[in-house]
Amino acid sequence: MKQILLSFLVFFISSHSYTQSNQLGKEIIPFSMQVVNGPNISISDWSNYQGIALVFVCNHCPMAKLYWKRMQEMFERNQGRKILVVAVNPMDSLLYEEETRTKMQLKVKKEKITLPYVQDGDQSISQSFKIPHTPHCIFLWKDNKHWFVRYEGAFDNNGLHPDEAEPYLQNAINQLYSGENPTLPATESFGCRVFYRKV
Amino acid sequence: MKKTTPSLVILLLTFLLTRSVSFAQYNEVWIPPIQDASSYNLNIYDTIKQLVPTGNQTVTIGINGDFWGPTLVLHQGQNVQMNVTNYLNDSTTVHWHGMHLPAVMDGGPHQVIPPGSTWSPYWTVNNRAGFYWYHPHLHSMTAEQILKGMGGFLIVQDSEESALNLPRTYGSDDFPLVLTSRKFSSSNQIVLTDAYGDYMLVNGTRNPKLTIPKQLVRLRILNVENERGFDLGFSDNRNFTIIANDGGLLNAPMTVNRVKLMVGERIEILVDLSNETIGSTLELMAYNANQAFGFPGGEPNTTGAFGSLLNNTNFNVLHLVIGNPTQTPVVGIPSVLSNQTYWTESQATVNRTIQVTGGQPGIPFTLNNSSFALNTINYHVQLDDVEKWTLVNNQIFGHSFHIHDVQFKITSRNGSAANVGSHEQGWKDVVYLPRNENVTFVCKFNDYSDALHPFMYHCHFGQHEDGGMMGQFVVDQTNSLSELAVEKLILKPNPVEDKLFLIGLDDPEQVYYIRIFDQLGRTMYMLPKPNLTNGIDVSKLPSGNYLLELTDQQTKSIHKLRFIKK
Repeated sequence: MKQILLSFLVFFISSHSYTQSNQLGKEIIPFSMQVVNGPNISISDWSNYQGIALVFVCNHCPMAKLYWKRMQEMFERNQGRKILVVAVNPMDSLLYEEETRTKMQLKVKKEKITLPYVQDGDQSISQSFKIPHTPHCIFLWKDNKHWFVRYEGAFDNNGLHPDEAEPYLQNAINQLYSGENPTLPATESFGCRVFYRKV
Repeated sequence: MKKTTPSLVILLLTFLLTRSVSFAQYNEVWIPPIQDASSYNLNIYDTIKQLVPTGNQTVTIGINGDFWGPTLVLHQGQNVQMNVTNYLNDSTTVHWHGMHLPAVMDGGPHQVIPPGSTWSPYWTVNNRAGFYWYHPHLHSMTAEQILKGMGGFLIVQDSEESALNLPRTYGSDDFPLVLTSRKFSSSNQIVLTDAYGDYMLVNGTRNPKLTIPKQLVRLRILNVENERGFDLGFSDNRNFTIIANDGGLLNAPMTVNRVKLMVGERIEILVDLSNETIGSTLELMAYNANQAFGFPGGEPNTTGAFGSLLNNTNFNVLHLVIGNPTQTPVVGIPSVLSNQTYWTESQATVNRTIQVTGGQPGIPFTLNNSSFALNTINYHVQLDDVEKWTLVNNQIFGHSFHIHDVQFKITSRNGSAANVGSHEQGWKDVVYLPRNENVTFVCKFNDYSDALHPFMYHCHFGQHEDGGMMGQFVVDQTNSLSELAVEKLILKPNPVEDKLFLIGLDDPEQVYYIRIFDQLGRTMYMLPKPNLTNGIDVSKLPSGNYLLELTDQQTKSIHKLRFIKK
C-alpha cells in the first residue's frame, strides 16, 4: 500500500515538473508552410529532407529576438545534412500589427535573414503542436518515410549568452543524425505566450 | 560544563552564519528613476532580466525597463495625464493604488488595455502626500503580471509635507523600497503558482545592499509579496520612527522597534544613523519566525505550493552599509506631523459586514460566499456617505484587505479601539485581517460617482484576488446631464493629419469614453472622459480608416463615427 502511494506521489511530482513533452513521438503528416522571404513561396514537398526543425518565434517577443542569429547559423550549418531549419511565426496577426506579413517581410529584408520565415496565418500549424509561447522548438525526423516529433522544447539554455548555452536543439539534431536517440528529447521552454484566436 | 555545551554550539552556529552572511555577494539595490512631470508615458513590455546569478535569463514584464517601473511624482491639486501603452501579448490594466480618483480612471479589472493600445486616464491629484504605487489589476492575471515585475511607485507631494523638516532627497536620504520574493524553476523562470518566493528581491535586486548616509534617513517601504507579511526590524533591535501609513503622514511620529507590513501596505520610517561608524553595517530584517498561526509566511514547510525557504524564519531583507553623510543632513524629528481629523464609527450612516468565506481544501477564498463576477455589482454606495465596514475572518488564514477609491480609518479590532495597532493609526487603504479576528474601518465615499464603472474591494494576495476573493461597488448619484444630440456630431478635419475635433457637443461632459479602432478592429486608443478642447491627438496613427466609438455619459449608449488618417 505504501509503495502504491509512493509511486502515486512520484507520478504527480514528475508530471508536474516535466512541463512540455506532449508532442514527443507523435507522427506528423507533411503540411505546407507559407514562406514570407519571397513572393508566393511555400514548403510543401518534404521528400528531400531527413529532418525539419520548426523554431516558433515572432517579431516582437524579446526572448525570441535573441535567437535570430543563432537560427540563421543553424540553418546554414545544417544545410548539407538534408536538415531544414524553419522559423515559424505563430502569432495572431489580426491582434498584433507587428506580426503581419508585411512586418515579417521587412524584418527578413532588413536583417538579411535567408532561413525560411513562415507565417502561420490561421495558426493551424502552431495549434496542432500546441505551441505555448515563443521561442519554442519542434524537431521532426523522418523514419522509414514517416515523420515523428523527436525533440520538443527550448533552443538552448541561455538567451543572452550563446557561448555559455547548452545547444539543446542542435544536440538532439546531431544525435539523431548519427543514429542515436536524443539524450534530452524534451526541455522546458518559456517566453511570450501565444494566444489562439477563437473561431 | 555539560550545561554550557548547547550554548557553545549556538554561539558557533551564530558565528558561522554571520560569517556566511558577511561573505555573501551583495548587489547595490536599484533605485528606480524618478520623474516629475504633469504627463507620463508608461510603456509595458515583455522583457527579460538576469534574476538568477548564473544561467538563463528570466522572463519579466517591464514598464520603461526590465522589472518595476519609474517612480512618478504627483503634486496635490495638479492634473496628471497618464498614457499607458501595452506592448505585451496579453491584455493588462494599470491601477493607481491608493489614489482617490474617478472609477473610470482607476485601472481596475474593467479598464482593460488590449495589446497594442494606449489607455489615457487623467485626474486631479487630491491625495495627501504619501507613498502610493501602480500595478496591474486584470482579473485572474494579477498575480502573474505582478510576479513578473509589473508595478511602480507613486510619490505624492503636498504643501503640508513639504513644510516639514524631513528627509526627502530621493535616493540620497529618502529611499523607496519594494519588498518581494521569488521562487525560480529549474530553467530560472518565476514560479507563478506558489504562494511564496524563496529569494528576496528589493526593488528587483537580489542579495541587495544599500549604501546609506550616516544621518537621519527616510525609508518608504512597500510590501508586494504574493502573500507573505513581514515583521520588520533592525538586526541591532534599534528603535525607528513611523511617520506615515498608506494615506500619508500620521498626526505624530510613533517610535517602535518592530512593524508588521502586509501585502499592499506602505509605511514610511525614519532611522537615525548619525551615530554609526562609516563602513559599519546593519541588517533590515524580517522577524518572521514563530508568528501566530495564520500569519502569511509562518507556515513550517520549505517546499510545495505554500512552502518557502523564508517561511517561519528570521531573514535578512536588506544589507545596509553606512556611508558618508550628505552635505546638509536633516536633524531631528518633528513632534507634530499633521492635524488630521478621522471619521468615527458614530458618523457612519451605513454599516456593512464582509465575511471571509471559502478556503477549505480545493475551494478558493471568497467574500460573503460570492466569487467575483465582472458583471455583478455587490454594493451601491451613495455619494458623500460615511460608511462603517466590518471585516470578519473566521477562516483558517490571514488576509490583506484593500478597498479602492478611499482612505479609511481603522476604528477597532475585535470590537475594541485599543486593539488597533500603533503602527496603523493613520489613513489606510489596506488592512491586515488575521485569522479568527475582525476589524472595522470607517470611510467617506466623496467626490466621484459613476453609475457604470465600479471600484473594487478585495484581498490583495495575488492568488486570492485572482481566485475570486473580490467584490465591487459603484458610487451612485443622480445625474443631471442631458443626452447627446448625436445627429449633430461630426469629426473635423476629416481626413485628419494630427488633431481631430468633435464638433456639435453641447457640453464636453457628455462624453464618457472614446475608443479608436483601426480597420481590422484593433484597439488603438482608449480615452476615458477625454478633454476635447484641444482635440484628440491622432498624429501617431498610421494612415488608414478608423472608427471612433463615443460613449454617452447619460445613457451609456455607444455612437460610431468614422475618420480617415492621412
